[in-house]
Amino acid sequence: MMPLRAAAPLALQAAALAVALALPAFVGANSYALFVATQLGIYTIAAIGLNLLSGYAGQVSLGHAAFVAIGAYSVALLTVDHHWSFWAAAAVGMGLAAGLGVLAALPAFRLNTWYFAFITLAFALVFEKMIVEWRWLTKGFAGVVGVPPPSAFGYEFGPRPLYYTVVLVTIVAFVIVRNIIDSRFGRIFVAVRDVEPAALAVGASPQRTKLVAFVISAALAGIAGAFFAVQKTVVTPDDFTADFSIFFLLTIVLGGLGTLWGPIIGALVFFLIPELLTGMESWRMFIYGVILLGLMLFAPHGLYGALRQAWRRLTPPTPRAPAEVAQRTEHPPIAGLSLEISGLSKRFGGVLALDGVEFSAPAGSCCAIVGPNGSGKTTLLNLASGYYKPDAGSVKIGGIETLGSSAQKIAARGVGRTFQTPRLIAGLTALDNVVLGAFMRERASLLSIALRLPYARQEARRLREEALGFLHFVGVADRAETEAGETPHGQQRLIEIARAMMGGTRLILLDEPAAGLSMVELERLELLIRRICNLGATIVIVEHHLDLVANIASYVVVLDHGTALAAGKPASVFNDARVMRAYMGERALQAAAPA
Amino acid sequence: MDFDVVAHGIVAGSLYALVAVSFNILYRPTNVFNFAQGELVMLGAMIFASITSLAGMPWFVAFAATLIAVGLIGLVEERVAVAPILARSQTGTGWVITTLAVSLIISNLVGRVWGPDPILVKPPQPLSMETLDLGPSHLSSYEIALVLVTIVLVAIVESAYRTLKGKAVMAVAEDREAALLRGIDPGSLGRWSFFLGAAFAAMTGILAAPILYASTALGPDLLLKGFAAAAVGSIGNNRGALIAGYIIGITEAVGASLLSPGYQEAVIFIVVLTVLLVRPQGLFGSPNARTV
Amino acid sequence: MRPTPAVPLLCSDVINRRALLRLAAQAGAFAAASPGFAQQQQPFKIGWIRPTTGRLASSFAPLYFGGLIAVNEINAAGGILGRQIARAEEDDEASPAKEPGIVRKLREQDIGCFVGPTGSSQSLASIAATTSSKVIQSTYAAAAEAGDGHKYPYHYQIMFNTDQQADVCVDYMVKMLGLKKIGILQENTAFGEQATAATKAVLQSRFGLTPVSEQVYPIAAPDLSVYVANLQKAGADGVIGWIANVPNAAMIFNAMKTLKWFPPVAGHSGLMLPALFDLVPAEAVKNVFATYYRNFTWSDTEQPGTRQVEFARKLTQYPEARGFEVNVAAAPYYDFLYCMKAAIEAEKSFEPEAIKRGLDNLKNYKGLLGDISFTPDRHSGVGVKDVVLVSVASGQDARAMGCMRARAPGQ
Repeated sequence: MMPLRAAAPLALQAAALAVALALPAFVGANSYALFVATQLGIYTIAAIGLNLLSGYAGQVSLGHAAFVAIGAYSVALLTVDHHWSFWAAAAVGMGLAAGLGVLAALPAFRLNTWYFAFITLAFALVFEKMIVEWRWLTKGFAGVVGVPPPSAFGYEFGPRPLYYTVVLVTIVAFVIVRNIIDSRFGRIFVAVRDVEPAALAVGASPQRTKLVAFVISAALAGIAGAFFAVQKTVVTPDDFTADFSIFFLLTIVLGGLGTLWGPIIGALVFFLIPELLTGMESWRMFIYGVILLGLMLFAPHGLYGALRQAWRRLTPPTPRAPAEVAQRTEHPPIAGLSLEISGLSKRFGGVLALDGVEFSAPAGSCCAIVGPNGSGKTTLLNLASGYYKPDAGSVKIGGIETLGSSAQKIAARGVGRTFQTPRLIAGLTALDNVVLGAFMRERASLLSIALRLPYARQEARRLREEALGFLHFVGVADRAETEAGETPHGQQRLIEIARAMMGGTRLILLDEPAAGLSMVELERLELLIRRICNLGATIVIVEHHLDLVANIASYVVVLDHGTALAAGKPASVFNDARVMRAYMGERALQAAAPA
Repeated sequence: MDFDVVAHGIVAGSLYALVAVSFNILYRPTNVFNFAQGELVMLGAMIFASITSLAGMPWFVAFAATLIAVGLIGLVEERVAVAPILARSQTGTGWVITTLAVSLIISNLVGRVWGPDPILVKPPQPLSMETLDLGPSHLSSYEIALVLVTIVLVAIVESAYRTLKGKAVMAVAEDREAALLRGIDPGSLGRWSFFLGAAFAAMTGILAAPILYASTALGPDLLLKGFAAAAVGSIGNNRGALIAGYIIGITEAVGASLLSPGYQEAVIFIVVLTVLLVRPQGLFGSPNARTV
Repeated sequence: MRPTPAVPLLCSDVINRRALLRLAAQAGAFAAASPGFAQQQQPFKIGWIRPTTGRLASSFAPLYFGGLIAVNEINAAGGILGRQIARAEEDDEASPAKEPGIVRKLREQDIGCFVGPTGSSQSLASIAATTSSKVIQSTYAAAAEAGDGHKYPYHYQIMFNTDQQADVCVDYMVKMLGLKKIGILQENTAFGEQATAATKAVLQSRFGLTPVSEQVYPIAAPDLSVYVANLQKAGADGVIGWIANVPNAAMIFNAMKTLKWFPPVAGHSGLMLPALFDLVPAEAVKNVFATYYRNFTWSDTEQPGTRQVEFARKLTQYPEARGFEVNVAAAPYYDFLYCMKAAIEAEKSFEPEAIKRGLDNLKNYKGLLGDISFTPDRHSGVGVKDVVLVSVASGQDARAMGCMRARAPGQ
């Protein structure tokens, strides 16, 4: 017996599907209801795409109408002027829209989210006008008239077959997007959106990620546009205004941005409200604005989020199935990478953070970098892992120069790291966060994931088991199914380490891992680091906890004001007078005179 | 190349710069781009136009009354649509949707109060829209005054940020929680900045009215060009906004004399996009050095 | 368009709707007040497509006034063949995308005649759907192709189209004023584009001339002086202006004043709106003429028709129409309803095919706008002889009574 909490939503979804499929049987072929239902389906297809782009990948786009327009005009012009079949024309439209999606993605690489949103808005306005300007192609204001319906096997599609086709495409789009969201692509979308350093740390390129999101959403919009053209039979520039684009985004927000069902609910509400508001139609936009305002204040995840929350409050929580207890699998030895830094310098504006630092961690060793606040420790780590570009010096990982490489390329080489504040994806479970670590290792293609082919499913299962094993290894297996944002700080740290290991990391950079840990957690951390070191990985740890450093590090470098004060075994370094002066000040040094 | 074209471009550019400055005022302590800004400008123009034709109030009285009225509207927007979002999280982005929603609400309400027709707004005595023959260009005394007033206003706003209060605002913009710890109240600064930013927007509308005519369609175009000027000039930088405003105004004017309407828009867009791609932080900003 | 009000017209849209509702209520009241008819005869439902939301809602609203007056008058006189007219209103948001859905919705209610929509692209989108559904329709669209009975056999255009407007304007400029160097100034809309194309065609075919300059301006431009200056530089003696809204017109005429250049201007009836007088000095519009209907004009020797004067007097009783009168008068819907009535009475049937026959056979029906005639191929009902140029400045003349104007010399 399925628990109530999960059963009812599934029942609702099944009911919705049944209604959608049964509708034509109850209404006339030429009825208004069928017409609106078809429009709703078309709208939903494009909305699903925009939701993927703006909701999951975080690229807020206020110009999505352009992609729909390309699909619509392609079909209209090819079928009317050149007598192509609908299917071929739709494929062309989809391809062209995807092409524009590639172009649209390029500014997203450079601009931050809000500048990009503004650029998309400006683009929408220009696009409106350019459709008219290129009247030799688009027939200008008059638009394209008389688009014929699709036909197959010599049989022309009436309103009913068209409706069924649209419903089918909607369902397919929904399932494909759902599969993509559930995979490494979905995870990396969210990572790029919320915690870009985490994406870089697992070796993903934010640019490629954004590109994929744009292309998929543009292609979906293109298909929607194709159906738009045949249903309306007249395509004019007035159909694709900037207002429409903005409005389109707002309806998805209304439904629930970044949720699977949000676009469907949003589209439903958008189409049903005018019907329910007869008599008050002129107030429609005003009511819309008020609803949106209210929703964002009280239910930021839109109607879907509000419904889900209400449902969760009303139903008893499902007892969490205990994570399958895997036996303590033996982790294979790791071939550690060496890290050699020489002459490294970095300036931030007027501040010289690092000044010609030398540091060397042989393969398989555990080394530490210590120093007072502001000495440049984290900067050193960030330079080594490629998050910043140094002004001078060299960084060799495993003997290969990495200067100038991007963070994600360095990560792909086998370098894992944790951050001063844990960079996890708060909305995903601990297990999913760890699976993210294997991003570079996953082989299933986008297509096999979209279609949920057996290879993709098997790989996903294997990776989950492996991730669980790593969670065991770091000691957080009991939290596998908890949202990472809800786990305590100390455990988030451990999850980050598990994610790094999942990536097959051979050189681990830990940035103040002991910060904020309790005594018990500190002990566990020390044990964990020792075990990782024993497996053969190289560990470089930036820390303040000198006890921890003394216990696990075989080599310590002390930084102060960007230069190395002392280096060597922990015992000798910590008794060095210069080190003590830097840490505790002159007076304390005098006070502690006998060393 | 007509000097006249450039002159008109500078006049239009001054208006865009003013909108950009009003954006900046709002943006500084809150990090929010107010998508309803265009509507606030429009409200300034419409309320002023209605007051002066209703009671024949002297220019300055109506001016002050309008600024206060729209300032209050901005305050309401802050309380209802912005503060709750910011309270949830410093880096929350729901304000995009809420300010868009506010702009929807305002633009639909004004349709009920005023018709679509523009209302004539006369410049204050002794200025007028009569053009003067100044050699190669034809500008009115009002347009010249507008350009000068804009420069003066930008200077005033810049100097305001050099005061202690101004520095407090910049501190909040940098790090809200840290500023809180230093005894600065981000909430009150946020409220003030929305009030002042809205009042400034209203003023822009009043100044624009003799040239662009006060009508309910005034908002969207100014929103976009003002935002462009703010972005190109680096958000938060008012001198940059002034120069960027001129750039956009002149590009638009030159485009008008040479290109057809669709290409005019495209050229402005390409210029703005190019600047932002080459310098994502705007012409005058400094790139964010530390991100991790 | 309204003149600058002494008292701001608060809630003008609400007042408008109230006026419309009042008129509509009157139309409905007669159905109730005549119990015999209501019980015996179903009302004759016609579709009424207009925007109530969106930017254009308040500008388009006055265009339906004439239609409402016609409905009231007809119902007060007993309806059509004893049936009262009932209107089924639909909001199209002035968006072409909405038109096909609305057509379906109204067809489901078995409605076979539509009034509206308004607007070029909106009308075309609607006509594309009504043609296949065989719905009798009249829209407010000046596009010449809307009067093509072959292409759109069920649509009837009862207003001047861009071809006729161009004809009249070019005729005046070239024949009457003897000007050869014509400049065209056009707003960047569908209407502007069609009108310019028609103008160029007439110039070429009748006089072998080409325009010295064609200036296309975006509606949202902050300054139009550069376009006017370009026309002057090209040496234009006269300007044909396809301008449909007041702010643009104001900017253009003020630019002419700045340049101290006052060429004769002939163009669209949008130039006639009284709001222009507040924004532009008198000297700038002395030489400006707009296309209009002969029946609503006076000249030195002729007066407007009595029916039209009656209509103008009726309009003055509606304060909401003040400033709008030319828009109300120039709309097709008043005449459309009466033409339909004539067609139905001739064929003694309400079936769309019958109405079509009746309309196609309509010859010289005396409408408000002129003598209306159709043929199966020609659905543009107004003849070019009924289209004249009028002086914009005469709008301030006492004889104007809101919707009358003085004819330009030689018309």
